[in-house]
Amino acid sequence: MAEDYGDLIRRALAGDRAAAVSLVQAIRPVIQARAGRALLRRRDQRAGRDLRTEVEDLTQEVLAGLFAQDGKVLADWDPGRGLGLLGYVGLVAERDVASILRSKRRNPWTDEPAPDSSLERRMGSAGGPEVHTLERDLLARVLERVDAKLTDRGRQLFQLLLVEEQPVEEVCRVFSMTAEAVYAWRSRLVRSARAAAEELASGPALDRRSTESE
Amino acid sequence: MLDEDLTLDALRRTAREVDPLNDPRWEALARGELSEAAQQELRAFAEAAGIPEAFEVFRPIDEAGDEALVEGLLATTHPPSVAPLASVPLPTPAPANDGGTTKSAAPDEARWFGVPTRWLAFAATAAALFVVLRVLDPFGAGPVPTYAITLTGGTATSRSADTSGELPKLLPGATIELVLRPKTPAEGPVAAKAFLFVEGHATPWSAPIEEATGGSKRIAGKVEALFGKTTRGRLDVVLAVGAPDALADEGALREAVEGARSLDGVQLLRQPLVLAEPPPEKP
Repeated sequence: MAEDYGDLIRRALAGDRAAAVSLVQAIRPVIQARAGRALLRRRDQRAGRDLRTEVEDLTQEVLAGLFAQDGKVLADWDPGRGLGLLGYVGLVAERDVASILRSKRRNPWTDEPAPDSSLERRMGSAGGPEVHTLERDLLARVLERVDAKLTDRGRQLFQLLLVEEQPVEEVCRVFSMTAEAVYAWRSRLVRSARAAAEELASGPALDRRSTESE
Repeated sequence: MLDEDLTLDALRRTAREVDPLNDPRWEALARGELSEAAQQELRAFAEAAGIPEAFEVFRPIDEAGDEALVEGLLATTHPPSVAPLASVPLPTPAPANDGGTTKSAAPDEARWFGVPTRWLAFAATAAALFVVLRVLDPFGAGPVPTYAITLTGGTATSRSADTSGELPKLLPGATIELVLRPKTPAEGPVAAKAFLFVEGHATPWSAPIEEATGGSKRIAGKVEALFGKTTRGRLDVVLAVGAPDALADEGALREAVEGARSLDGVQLLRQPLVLAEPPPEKP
């Protein structure tokens, strides 16, 4: 499929409308999903806005960025690096959506959307019956504490490198980072998680929950 | 958690479990790959997870929307001959199922001036955005983009039992902010006039309207300062937006706000609300 996408990109950038439609239909959902997730994670800071309109606008802007400068970003995709086109577009979308949302220029009265650091609500609602053992409960609380300390970029890296297990090399390339910086970030994340676990393990909150779960 | 990999693996598994937005079905929904039953299931999942708006966010963009996007993108990568701005034909929305194309011309280079900086970051894409938003924008018959109105503030300290339905309630002493935001940056001058619509009658509202680059407009301040002696109770704030010429006739605007007529090139953005009575003075 990689070769097909390569050909599709070339034809789309050459002005082949049918190829462009096929390409957009393939990559647009990836962008929309990234944009939607970013918006929903910031939804507390965007009260009153029409999220559907926002996600369409973001999707369009990321697509426009991919096609800009004769499709330079699209043309930079190299299947030989191990990441498929959709994965690559996902990385680019993750980067660009965050950049757009960070910008205050879109609306001079829009505060920078603070990332939704409250995992507690997500845990409470989505964890459901699966997250009921003490170990999982502890891990979820560790994650909540780790998440609260992450920067915007840190959250991106967490999502891409850990949750999605994207290749470090491609993440570095798209986000203009060195591998050393990524590995250093990962080590800090581990230290932060261990410190949070130790705090929780020695704190009264866990004792209480342990008692409750017995 | 004896070593780094174990720690990372534990975090990974937990993040996947506790965050409903990591569910792969969202992207499948955006792809249009979910059956009706699967969509219903996902809707229920979103409700249970406290993110009911997620379904609307990830709902796929339809075929016509993708076609419109392509038109805009191709206008950037392969622009047709440049026409003077005044003669640029405005495309009309393509029918959903005919696969037809929408002819459009690239905007004049002069259009780059005044584009907000954020859009300059995508400088080469602005032509695409121009065209795409015209196609998608049902109002877009001129340089005035579609606006949306948002109201924030005013109700945070409300403890009244009088809910007046779902309308926002503006309490004495509260600070509010009404923002008119264009869906895309405005390309030319856009004016706004404000009215208060009470019991079928519109009166001009003297609240100061601030303007910003890109066409956003704002009314902000204390409730008392903005509304003065306006009769308390249910009313609509109505903002008329359009090219300055389109808003010149205040009488016609008032009639439009009252629903007696329509005006070409004028958008009316209506924000219903309740102006709360001030608390009774203590003896």
